[in-house]
Amino acid sequence: MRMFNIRWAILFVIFVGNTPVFADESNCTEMRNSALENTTDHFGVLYSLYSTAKCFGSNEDKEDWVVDIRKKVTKEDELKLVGIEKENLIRKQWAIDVIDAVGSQTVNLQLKPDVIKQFKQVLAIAKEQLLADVQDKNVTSTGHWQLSGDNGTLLALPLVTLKQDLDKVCKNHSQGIDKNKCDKVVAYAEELLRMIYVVESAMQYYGHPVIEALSKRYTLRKKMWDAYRDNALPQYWWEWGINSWRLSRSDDRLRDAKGQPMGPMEIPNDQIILLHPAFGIERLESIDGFSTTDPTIIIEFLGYNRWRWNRATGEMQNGLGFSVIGSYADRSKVDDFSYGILVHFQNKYSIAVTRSSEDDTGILLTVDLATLFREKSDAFKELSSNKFR
Amino acid sequence: MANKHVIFLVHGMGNYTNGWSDPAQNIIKDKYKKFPQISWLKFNRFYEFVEIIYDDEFEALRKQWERMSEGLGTALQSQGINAGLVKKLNKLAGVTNKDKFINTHIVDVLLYRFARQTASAVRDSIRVQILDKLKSLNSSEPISWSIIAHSLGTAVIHDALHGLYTDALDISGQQLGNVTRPHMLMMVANVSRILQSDVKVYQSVVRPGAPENAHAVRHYINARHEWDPFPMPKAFRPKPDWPTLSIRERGFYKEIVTNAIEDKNIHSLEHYLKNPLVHTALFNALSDRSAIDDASIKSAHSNYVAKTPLGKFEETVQQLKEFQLGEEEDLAKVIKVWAEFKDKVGA
Repeated sequence: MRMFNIRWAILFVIFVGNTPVFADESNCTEMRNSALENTTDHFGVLYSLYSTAKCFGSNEDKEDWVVDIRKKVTKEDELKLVGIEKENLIRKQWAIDVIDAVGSQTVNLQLKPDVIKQFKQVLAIAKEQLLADVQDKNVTSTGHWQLSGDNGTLLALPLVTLKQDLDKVCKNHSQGIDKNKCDKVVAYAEELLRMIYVVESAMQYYGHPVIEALSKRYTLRKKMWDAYRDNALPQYWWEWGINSWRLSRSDDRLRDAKGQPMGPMEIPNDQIILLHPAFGIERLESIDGFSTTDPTIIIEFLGYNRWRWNRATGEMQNGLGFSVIGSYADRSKVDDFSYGILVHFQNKYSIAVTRSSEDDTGILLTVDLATLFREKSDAFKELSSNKFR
Repeated sequence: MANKHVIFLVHGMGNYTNGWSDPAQNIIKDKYKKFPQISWLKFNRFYEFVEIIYDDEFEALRKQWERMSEGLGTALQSQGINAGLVKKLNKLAGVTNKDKFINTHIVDVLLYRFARQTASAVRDSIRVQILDKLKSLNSSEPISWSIIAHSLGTAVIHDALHGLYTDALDISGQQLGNVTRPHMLMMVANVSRILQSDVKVYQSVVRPGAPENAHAVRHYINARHEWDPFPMPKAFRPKPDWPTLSIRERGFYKEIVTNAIEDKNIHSLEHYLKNPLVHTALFNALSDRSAIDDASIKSAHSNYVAKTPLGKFEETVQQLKEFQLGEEEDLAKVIKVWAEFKDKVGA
């Protein structure tokens, strides 16, 4: 019975030993020591500490040279106080400082002299490109400095084969075989992970303005789309459909190698008006000398409206359009119907000259029905009263 | 402070407000704890969720049309125009107004698919939300982020990413791909192919395998349920050599097909995430390796299936048979079946 209990206790310890349990605030050293103690997957543990826990090379890392180089970084809130050009220079300088710092640390990879040589060559190329502000898709891109979790390779340094190295030497580590060799490879791996993480950080820091510039671009675009919906002449759903069709037809974006459009669609600066109901006030002068002012229902049969975009602020400017209209008002002494041309100004104000079938001439003003009812739903009712008769 | 890995959540069709993804988040966190291979790194310490909301674009347009047609109705009536004619005209103008879910959900899909302005505005809204979050992170530490998209969200995120990763800054020509890319894209109930318009999903840059190539993402997980009518027609089901054989061999593209039923709303994001085949694929992709081995996945899945016998859901299965769609169904029938599914299942 006692042997049985001891056996279960040993099995329990082995199981628990392979599945480290940490408090939420365990530091990297605690996590690392506990995770490596009984594992058979050294690469898996180190990769998790590098990729998920970010223990190597980050602000969490207490290694002296990492602490020193990270002290030199200018923080985001300080960067906001300088102009864009100065910011880019500061970012570039830190990236170069990182390259120099990492370059001097490569000696710690002495287990793999060929990796050291390749590392130094690649760092030299990266430094040249940073100094020349040439953004290569390779050695200055963050992706090339990310270790792959499935096979432990790195695009920037093709000679790195970390998973293979660790698996080969450490497979018997838990049985105490090749323990020293395994410890050396683990030390090499940690140094390498530290260095590539810091270089990736440098490339991230240097390239960050791209994120900011794109954020600004798309924020402006969003503002323009909102203005298109809210500030251009309002469109009923059939007009929205027609203008969508026009937008598709006019899509002249460059195409990539697979024939797919590149980048976002151009935001339109015009619109077709089609069978659009509106409301206005029409003053009609009959040829008999009688005049009447009435609230009027208008149909814009067909029209066109155009504006200019202020690309810096996303605002619409200089809107100008026209449409062919018919109007109707319930009148007693003159014709109920008249026709004319309506001119739109600034997407807000519209004026038309109309003529009835009895040659009565009218002037019509409209605040578009939809605009009116965007803001004041009772206004039409008020105007439909006898107030203006 | 090192950046946490950001996981963006993109909703499907319908009305969504802040907090919409809480149930999905809780499921993910709960399932994560069940695997000691990964849970030794506490989820909340190293990952954070960010919700993306884009249905406000559809809502704003719907509200505008609602106001326009109400105003039209008032104006027509006050002119003494025949009430019957007013009703007809109002119906025509207000066809998008009904506040029933059928209109809310289906109009969103139709607007996204057929209205270029709406689609572009939605895509730009998503891009702004993603970029604003990335911009806020500590730039002196690497940025890592992933996306889980559901239903209509799969189409919008696909298009948003394609545009973002084929765009270039005007003067310098720099591209976002040099600086950051999504580590993982999980497409749940993927409708990107049936809703594709200007960008074709099999030819776009939204393909796995980054950064070894110019593709937009590293891991691409495509999850669908055998009985879910949404991803059925024009299913996203690329050929075995998409995007390349070597990328497939390395496991950067994962096709997950499930059939276990835990409740009748098999289309919901939460239902998908509860299945071990789905959440283990998610965790392995986030880890960038097979942290959870095949034996553990098989065991978890067997336990799950044992608790969700088809016999328990026979009535549901019979109901679901009504909603089966063929690969080449036309869009009108597809939309109709989707609407009926949502109505009956209460999705």
